[in-house]
Amino acid sequence: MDKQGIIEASRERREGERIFYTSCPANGCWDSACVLKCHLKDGKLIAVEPDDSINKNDSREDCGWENLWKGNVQMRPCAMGHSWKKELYAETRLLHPMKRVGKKGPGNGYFVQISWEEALDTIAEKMIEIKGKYGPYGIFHSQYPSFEKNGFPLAPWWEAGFGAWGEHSTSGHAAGEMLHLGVDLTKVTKGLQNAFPGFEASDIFNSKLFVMWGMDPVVAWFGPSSYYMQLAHEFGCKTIVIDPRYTQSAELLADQWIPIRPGTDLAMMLAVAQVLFEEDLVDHEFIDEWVEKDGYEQWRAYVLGEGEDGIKKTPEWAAPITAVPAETIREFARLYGSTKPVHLQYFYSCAKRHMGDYSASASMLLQAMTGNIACPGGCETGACLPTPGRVPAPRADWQRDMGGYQVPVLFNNNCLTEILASQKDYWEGRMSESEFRHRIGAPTNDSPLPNIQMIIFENNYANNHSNVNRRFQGMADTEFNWGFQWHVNQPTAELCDIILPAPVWQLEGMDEYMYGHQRFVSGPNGMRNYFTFCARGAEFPGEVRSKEWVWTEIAKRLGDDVAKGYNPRMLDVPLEGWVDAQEAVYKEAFEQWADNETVMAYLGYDHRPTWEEFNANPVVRTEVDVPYYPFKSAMEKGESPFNTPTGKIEFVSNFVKTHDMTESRWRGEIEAMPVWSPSYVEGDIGSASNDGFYNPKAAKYPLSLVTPVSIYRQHSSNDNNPFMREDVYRHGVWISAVDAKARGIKDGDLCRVYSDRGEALLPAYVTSRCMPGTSAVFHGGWYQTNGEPSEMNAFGQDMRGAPNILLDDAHLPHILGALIIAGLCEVEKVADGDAEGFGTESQRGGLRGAKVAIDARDELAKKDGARDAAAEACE
Amino acid sequence: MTQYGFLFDMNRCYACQACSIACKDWNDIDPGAEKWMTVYEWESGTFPAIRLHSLAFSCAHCENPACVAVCESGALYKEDEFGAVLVDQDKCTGCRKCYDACPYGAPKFATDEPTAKMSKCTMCVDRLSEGMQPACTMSCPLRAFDFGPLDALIEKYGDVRYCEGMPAPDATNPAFIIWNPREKTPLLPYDVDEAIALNQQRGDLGTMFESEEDLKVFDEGTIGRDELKMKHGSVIELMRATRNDMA
Repeated sequence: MDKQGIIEASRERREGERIFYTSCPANGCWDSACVLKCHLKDGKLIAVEPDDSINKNDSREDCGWENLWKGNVQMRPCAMGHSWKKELYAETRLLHPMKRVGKKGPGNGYFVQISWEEALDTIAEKMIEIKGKYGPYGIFHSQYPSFEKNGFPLAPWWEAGFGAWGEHSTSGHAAGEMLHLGVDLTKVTKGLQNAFPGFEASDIFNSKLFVMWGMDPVVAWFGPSSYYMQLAHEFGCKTIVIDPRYTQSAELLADQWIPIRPGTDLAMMLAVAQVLFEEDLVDHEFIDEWVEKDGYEQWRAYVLGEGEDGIKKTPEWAAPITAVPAETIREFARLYGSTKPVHLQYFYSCAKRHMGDYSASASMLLQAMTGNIACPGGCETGACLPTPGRVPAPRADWQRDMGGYQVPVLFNNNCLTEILASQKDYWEGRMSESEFRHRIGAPTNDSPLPNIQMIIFENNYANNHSNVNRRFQGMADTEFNWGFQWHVNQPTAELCDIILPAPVWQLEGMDEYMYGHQRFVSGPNGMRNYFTFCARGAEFPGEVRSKEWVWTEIAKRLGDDVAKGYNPRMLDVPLEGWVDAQEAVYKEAFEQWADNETVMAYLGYDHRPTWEEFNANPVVRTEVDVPYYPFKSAMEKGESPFNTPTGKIEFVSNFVKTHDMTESRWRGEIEAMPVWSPSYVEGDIGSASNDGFYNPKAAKYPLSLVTPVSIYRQHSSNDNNPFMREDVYRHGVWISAVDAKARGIKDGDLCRVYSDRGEALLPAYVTSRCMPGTSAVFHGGWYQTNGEPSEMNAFGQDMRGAPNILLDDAHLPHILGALIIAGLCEVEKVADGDAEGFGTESQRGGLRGAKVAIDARDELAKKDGARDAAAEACE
Repeated sequence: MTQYGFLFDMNRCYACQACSIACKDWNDIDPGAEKWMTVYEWESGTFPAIRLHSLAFSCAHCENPACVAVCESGALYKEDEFGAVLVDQDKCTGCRKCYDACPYGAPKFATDEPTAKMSKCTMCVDRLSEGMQPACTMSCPLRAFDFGPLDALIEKYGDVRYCEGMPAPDATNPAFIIWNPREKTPLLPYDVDEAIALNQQRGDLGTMFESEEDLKVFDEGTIGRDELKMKHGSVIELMRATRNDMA
């Protein structure tokens, strides 16, 4: 094919295509809502291009300083954004409703195809049966049972289901943030606080020093913020990465890397504070105005060794704990204390470990004592993401009534496994009510208690929290689970009695996004100066149907009131016209929005746009005038954004001092200020915490394991995507070269990674990029097993490597709430990597490794001959 | 002919592979070894004095392409509008002489089978003909690429066409300008010997390793990617060299 042939082949591929724009945020994309220009042919996605709504055809996007400040930049997607085609049309995509034959749990059953009618009838019958037997708290819906809410769409009218307090992402920072700063992310999300704690991307240009503590933004933080951090570094902002691993961010974004042992951050923070106090490098003006004095003096005394323990928390004290030289800590403190403003961000992953709240709190106190917590170029370093919206967007009106049922809050959202493990003992009288409440984080002593016998999954929830073995057992033990799934080999499918094929909302049909976000999509923070209308996408493959249609059909089966409440405008819409009808409601919303002349003028439209014009240019931008900085809206008015009992930042929490925390919703102990040796545990944090580097357990499990979020998955989404898995990355266990050598491991060797909770098989990534004694497995890998029990896993060896299978989830006696993402493990060689070769390696651990799980079910099905019968019945 | 070319800024590449996937997506290429855009990531140094390097390289569309010179079937040619080096697959016999000749491993093969025909980066001449820039350069989240007439790029970015570990550019004059990694100026003192001593001990649990030597000397193959290697003996080798461990 000559040049003209290449050009013509390309045109032919795209001939007759339809272009539509969408955004593909998922929970896990943090601040980004990237813009995708999608090419659609014959109803199928054929290619994705990046945002071209601004600065067209400029690869380097040299749009100038002013435009960068104003946010006039493209929202380019990451690798995942360019991989959607293979996700949508993967061989493993679930295309039909299926019911399980046999018990739940890998190795115990298999799936056969059923009709939509049978699936919906069965689901509705079971919902009614279980609500009848166990009441409204017998049913748990897995999508976002957080922020004192729950995503169960029918709850308000069917009057069942329950929510949870807390959230997953910043859960390690949350207690400290509330107790010391009086900032409650739940209230922030509900608009009940007077100021947002986040920062807009361009505010990083105001910073003189940027400390990424445990933070790897280019890998873990998609979207504009990491790009702006890179630019800030290029423009001369001093940058430091403190992390056990030499990350890509350490290479690209940082002047210097300071390796630190996982879980020892608090020791370094206390030593930094000690230098700041001793050398008077604190911001007296800020402290006088915003910090509660008594607590400040008490923590100061503790840090300087004038408290009860009498230990001065000097850099020399911290050095052997952290493995950071004392001189480096001291000079870091001096640089930090003498530079302003400083964006020190103690990334929220670091605190999601046992007693991580103390280090999270200490990071906020450091930012407070240096006056960097609420100023341009500063950082709140807690849930420092949300910022106010800037662009008025249309709002589709589905005319739902409010319903009479507010989902009650029954537990902490990171304690679902605990409910499932404990509920039988409680309801059958073998566990006291008090203990059950403590285990699950019941918000009060009179809140109702759950007895979950149905889980409705709308995600891959089973795989995605710590202690997978225990979690799977609990989920397998309920009476009936069902859910929407995307791939036949999704781990969560094994815990369902019926699975329904789900659309990928960003690119198929016109369903709305989570939390009731509609298809006018903007990010939660970072850059909120634009929204994208996610237009009608590709046709549904196979028998995939709109989730909103599914919920409407189930609602009809549960009762007229439920259906009328949930979706009154769509009750009589037939399946064939469903997406058209959804689109009509969005169009109506657009028309009302476009009719608002004030809004149109604000957004810079020179005329009222038509629906066609809007669809052709669906990215609506304004310019950032002054970037939002932490608590800007309150600080500008001179109001306190710190909703503590004193209205100031409390170094010693008055709430803790005046409450029995074991009877609070946290259901455990916590000191009123961040300390290295809590009074209620033996030893210091290092030896007491279950994942501690110095825990005696490390004699048997010597590698400190972290499980960072990855660049190729949003949580566990996309783990099956053939454009990425095994093609551009290998999902392995990071092990330092010195530890690998001691174990006879070479890069690529197949290894067994095990802890006292579970085990997995993974190839080794041997590198000098991580500290001796540390290891990492990226979050979100799917548990793929043949169902034959292994030494540590009741449901079978994990052939692909879900790091959560290695992690513990115990909290007591410390307060609960944090989602634990760190642990201790050991790695041993199983087989020589070189002998295996690429093909079998991918069969073992990769996409084709999904075959392990699928083949195991096929074997069971073959024995019964049941699949053939079901296929015949469907036809 | 105006020779077009690339700028690649190593200070902005984190080996995320968005360019590589965007290339496959746009050009409708299946997963596997036919990676017209290859992304390498490798480390140098030992703990704690370590650096990480990334290179996203498709084809340099050289001014004196070695591949074209050795192609006996006339399948390879330099296109006369943008200077793109293209392959006419109808003429390709799969002899792989081009692969042997190219210092950069730019010719790609889907399999190790002798029947596999070569395919390679087209510089997105289809996009160029419509006034657009290549799929890879437009997709970079950190804007590591620029693309345009080579002369203009040289004027703007200088004329270094090489990074450490790459073959010398004299032989073929690659239309690929590279901004090499900047030197790092540490902000704080960091005593490496002391850091290693601290890393050696683990409180009551004993020591982590015997001597400093343990951190520095390794058998070949212990560390997976400790050099840039752009030529590969097989599909397996190529896949191993162009995958990272960030998930």
